[in-house]
Amino acid sequence: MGGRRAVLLAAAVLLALAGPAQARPLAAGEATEFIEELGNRAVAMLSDTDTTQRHKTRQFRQLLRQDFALKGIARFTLGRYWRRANAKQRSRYLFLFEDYVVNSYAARFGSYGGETFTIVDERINDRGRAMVSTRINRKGGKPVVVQWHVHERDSRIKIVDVVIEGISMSMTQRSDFAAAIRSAGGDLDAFLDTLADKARKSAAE
Amino acid sequence: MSGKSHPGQWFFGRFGGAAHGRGIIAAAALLAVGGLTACATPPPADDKEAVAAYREANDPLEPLNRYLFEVNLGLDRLFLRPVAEIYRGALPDPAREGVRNFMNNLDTPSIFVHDVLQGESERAGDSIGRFTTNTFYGVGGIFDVAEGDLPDDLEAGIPYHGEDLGQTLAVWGVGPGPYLMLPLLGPSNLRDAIGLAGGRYLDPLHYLVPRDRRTGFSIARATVGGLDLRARNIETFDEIERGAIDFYATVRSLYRQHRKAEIANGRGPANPLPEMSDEIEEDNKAERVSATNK
Repeated sequence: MGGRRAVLLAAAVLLALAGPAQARPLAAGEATEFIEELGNRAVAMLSDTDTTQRHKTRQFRQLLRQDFALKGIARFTLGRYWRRANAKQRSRYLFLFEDYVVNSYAARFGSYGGETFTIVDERINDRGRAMVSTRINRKGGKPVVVQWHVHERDSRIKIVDVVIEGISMSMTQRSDFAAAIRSAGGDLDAFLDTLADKARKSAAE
Repeated sequence: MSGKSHPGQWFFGRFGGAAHGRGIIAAAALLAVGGLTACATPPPADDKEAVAAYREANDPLEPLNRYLFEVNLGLDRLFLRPVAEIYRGALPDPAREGVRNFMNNLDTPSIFVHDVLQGESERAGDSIGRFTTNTFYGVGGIFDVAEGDLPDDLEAGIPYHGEDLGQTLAVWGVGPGPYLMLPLLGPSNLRDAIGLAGGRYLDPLHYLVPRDRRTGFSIARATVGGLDLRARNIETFDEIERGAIDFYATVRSLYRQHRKAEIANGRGPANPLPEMSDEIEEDNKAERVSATNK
């Protein structure tokens, strides 16, 4: 009993020291600067013809971990099933989700055709989260409007969602996963097997 | 409905941008028959989250819709996709661009009518400007001179925008109704299907065509528009299919979001950010609480 109380106390002290995850409201221009820098890095990476696909994939994974609120996105995407999942299922899911995202985007690196981007505007909502609108300019095609939703947490700006011509990537993924889990009869483990399979498959292509 | 080329749009209904009254009637009959036998089972009322998910999908005819989706995919693989590939291979980019511009210009009088019906005076002016400029200076609409020099000179021109009866009904407050997968025409909902069937009667061009040619004209327009849209999205469509675990549900979600954005005309609440971030933060809090309790 005493031991348990001590652990609890220690945890409370640690939490108090660390403080809750701070969500500081973003100031004007911060989010734009972040997206601009990220976009330049992404374009440099994609247009670099000297690096191998494998290296690009590794760079992309790093970018994803560093600049996307990956865990939050993963949680949102699993929706109500996240709350039902046990610790083991959660960690397996987070692991697979990253692979799934990395592999499905890595498959498209080859189709990069010199697109550039222009910042259109930035809007900050009443909670200090920002939405940066960009225009992706394609050669011989109409530009595509992409919005980057970002927030700051623990003094790091991170992307929460990417919205392409009004279509939210997170929302779409969430609908996909929800339906897949439902057709698996609500069996999360069966769904995770499918997800693992899918991540492997797109990696092989 | 006649969307510009952007990702994941093959299915967003350029198919029958204008018409297909008969197809709609056949679809309605099919749905009525199917609806009697195939209905998605609603979740038990005490499972609130499941009920919310069921409402969000808004797809009571799901079993039938899934069946029709498979039929459409089969038809696509057999006919539409191969023809779209031939079309893309046979015509050079500028020629296909000309076809697309011409079709867009043909839609513009109807778009103007819907701009007006939606009370969008600025966009109505844009439509008039585009139609006159492109018809006279763009050789009957083959060249889109009105849009200016994209992407360098975006502000100088008037870019294309689409409108249709389904969007007008939405602006007037008509809800989407249940999700529908229309045979041949692809994803829709009750409101948009009605819009698809009735839209031609609000198209000024419709009345310029001799009465006995109207159906043929509508079908030809829809076919060319659909073919062009499919040809532009061969890779995008493949990517979506490859990435999705449940392709049907992914398309359903894409359609709903795409229409919402189209109806909002690029402003307003087509913004999932607040809702989503709240959920992320809630989960964070919940985790912290459970961490302290351990």
